[in-house]
Amino acid sequence: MLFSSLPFLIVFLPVVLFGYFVVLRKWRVAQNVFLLLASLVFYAWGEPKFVFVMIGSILFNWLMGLLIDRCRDKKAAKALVALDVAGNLGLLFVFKYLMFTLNNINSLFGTSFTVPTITLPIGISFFTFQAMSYVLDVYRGDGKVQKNPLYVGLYISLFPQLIAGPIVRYQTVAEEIENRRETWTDFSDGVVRFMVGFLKKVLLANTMGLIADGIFDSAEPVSAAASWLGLIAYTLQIYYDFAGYSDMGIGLGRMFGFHFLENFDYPYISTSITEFWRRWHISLGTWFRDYVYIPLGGSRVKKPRLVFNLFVVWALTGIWHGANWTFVVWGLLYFVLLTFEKLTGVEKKLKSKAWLPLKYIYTMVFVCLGWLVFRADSLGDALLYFKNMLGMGTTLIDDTFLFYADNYLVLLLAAAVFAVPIAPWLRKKTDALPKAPKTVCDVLYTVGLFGLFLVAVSYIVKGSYNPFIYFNF
Amino acid sequence: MKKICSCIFVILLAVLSVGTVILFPAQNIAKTISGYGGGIRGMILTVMDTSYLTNQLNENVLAKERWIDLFGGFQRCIGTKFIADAADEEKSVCRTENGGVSFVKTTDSFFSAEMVDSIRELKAVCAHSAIEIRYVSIPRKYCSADNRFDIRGLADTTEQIAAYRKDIFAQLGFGILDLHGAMHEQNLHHGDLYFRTDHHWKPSTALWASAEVADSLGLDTALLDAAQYTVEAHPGIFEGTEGQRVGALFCPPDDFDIPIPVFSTDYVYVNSGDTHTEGSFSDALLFKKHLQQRQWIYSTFLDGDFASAQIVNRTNADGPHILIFKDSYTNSMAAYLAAVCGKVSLLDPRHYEESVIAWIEKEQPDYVCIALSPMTEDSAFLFR
Repeated sequence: MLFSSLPFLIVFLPVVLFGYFVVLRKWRVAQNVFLLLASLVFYAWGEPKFVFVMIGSILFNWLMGLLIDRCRDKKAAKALVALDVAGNLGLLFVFKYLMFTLNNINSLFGTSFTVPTITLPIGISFFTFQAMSYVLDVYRGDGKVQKNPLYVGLYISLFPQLIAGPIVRYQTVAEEIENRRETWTDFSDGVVRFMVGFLKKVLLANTMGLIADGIFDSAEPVSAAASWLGLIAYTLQIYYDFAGYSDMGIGLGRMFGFHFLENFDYPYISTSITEFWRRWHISLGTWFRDYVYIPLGGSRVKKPRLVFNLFVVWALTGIWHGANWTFVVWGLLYFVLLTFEKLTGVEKKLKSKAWLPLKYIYTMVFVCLGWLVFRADSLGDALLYFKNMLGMGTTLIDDTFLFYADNYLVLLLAAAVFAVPIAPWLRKKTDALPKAPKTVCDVLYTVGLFGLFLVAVSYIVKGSYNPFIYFNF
Repeated sequence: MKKICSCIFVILLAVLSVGTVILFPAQNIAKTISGYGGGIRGMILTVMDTSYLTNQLNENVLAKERWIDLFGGFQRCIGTKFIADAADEEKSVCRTENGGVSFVKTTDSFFSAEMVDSIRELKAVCAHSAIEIRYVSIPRKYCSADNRFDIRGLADTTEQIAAYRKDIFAQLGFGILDLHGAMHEQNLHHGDLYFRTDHHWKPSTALWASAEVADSLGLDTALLDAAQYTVEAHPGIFEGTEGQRVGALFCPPDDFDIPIPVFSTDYVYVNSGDTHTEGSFSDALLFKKHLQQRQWIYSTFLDGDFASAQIVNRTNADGPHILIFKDSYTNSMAAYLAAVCGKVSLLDPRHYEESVIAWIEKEQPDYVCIALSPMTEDSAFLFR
């Protein structure tokens, strides 16, 4: 089930809100069980068979957490952690990487292993990493072991962040599972956050997706201008889709008293790749930092080891995104850039404001090129597309460019404008106003937000383009 | 303000949720449950059929038409002219220069050898029985000369399809009536001849087309002159196929003005849907229930598409018998053409499953017209 769908808006969310806040409002245990069941239904709506895979993962990790807590003796606990990581990664490997691995072995070595057709359960990368986070946090003492499997299940499967993140660390919500307080302020903040995320996803991401898919998947070669437009549209699509889904997830969590950490912080204003990854998919970056990079030694090692650590993290980050060489190359592109920035110290050395435009261009060029590789079906396709962008063997401008630019100009401009922190800037300015004009601005904002939300709902009712780009994850 | 926002949000969800449930066609669900075997098992299987439930919800959401109006109104505000259809590319809609909306045809036409042979055989059968056969090129609303899409860079293959098919029939020795060319020759603007919200031509255009067909067959066209008709006006009631996809705020509904003969008429109309009507033009050939219900309004003419249909003109019993291979455009045209014929028979090759050759050999019409629009798939041109 998607957040941006009628079954969610008209059936699931009203029923869950009613059950949670009206029927079960004075009974925390029942509320938690209700949320768990609702989350399982949420997942099963799209993946009826794979809900059992998730339940299996929940039980396995709950058991491992219990055993690790009992065996506080170092060796046994370590072995159990290793077993847990192997189990989780094994699950991920079978569903996500087995076909890719076998195909590559067959290509490389001329073997003919049978490649089974395996459907990828939606969100497996997210809930597997969350499950590992629970066990690792218990092992490290960052979170108390949870003896109730239902609560472990609730943490892993909570529907606001189940299929598209943010990856919530167990330590973030451990306390809130049993001892949270739902307040009217939190609920309202959550609603507004959900609506903003809904707008990002439906109005901006989906429209940018229409443009990007139309150009990337065009049967005919497209012009240089169209290629650039397609890449810019994809750059905006992936941001608004991810950030929109994160906003909706954070908002929904807030409604029920959970406080998830931020996942995106206007990444497209970054002036270095290092800064970009502090602002983009923060939950994934910090997960790899805390559970892979730092245990390997982090930055406090000699340079060769530093380079190795970065290589491991970014190769894993790439492959986490999907079973294709394009994702590996995408991850390794960032390995190269981040290694360059870390070894040269360029981020600290070029602090003067005069360098900002150049730094910004450098960052955005490589981020966009990274998205080109990320979006392409193969490295060959990415290279062909890149050649188009340079105008090699194609025209400068064509009907494709004119069509998309003409038809989607307003939303393209809106997407570009709101990708920078103009909304917080406006909020700051209006907060500083005297009471009466501030009230007018607040009313205008509320009316505008609600009006656009209704428009976004009309997109869903119309059945307009609503892709789910996380099927790889 | 956030608290007010959240209150309104909850109320909106409640209204949508309760409203949709109240208006939900429970009989659809009941049918599905019994389709799955009924009882508890049927209910469980129905609940597990999430695609079906999602579809039902999408189709029956509270005030669906008003949501689509809102969607279309927003598109109009932000200057969108092309509205993509996520499910079917060929159901995407684009604004035209006259302010209407039109489907965008992107596929080409190709007649297989089998189709060409079947057309050749059809001609031979007609020639053998001295039946005059003609290809009528039905024009579409889109016209690169005078009613283009109101957006740069969007191509439509309709005219290529029409030209391709005309060429094929010309090469096979058919007489050709090119209504598209006739429109240009008579300085008729495409944008005025078709509905804004629908791909069909207006009834007045169908009357004009019937006169062109009759003239090309050498029939007396006096009764097909516009002066012989009064107009029964139905202002602002027709939200056509394209219009329903974009809402009234994107493209306002059309008037549905029907030319009604002032002269005396007496018809019998039958079709393969077991319809049998008799009487005047209005009584026999117009099905006004569609106007009253404001649904499928174009089906006012002959009650829509059927595999086969026949109009008998009792005031012209000795008049010619014309067989028309048709799609929906011909429904309105045939209703007027019947005035100068003894009989008009209609076969819709998209739905007619028996042998058309056998039909012709048995019924021996005086004329055969193939009148299929460029929107109709190539498979309709396989005549068995």
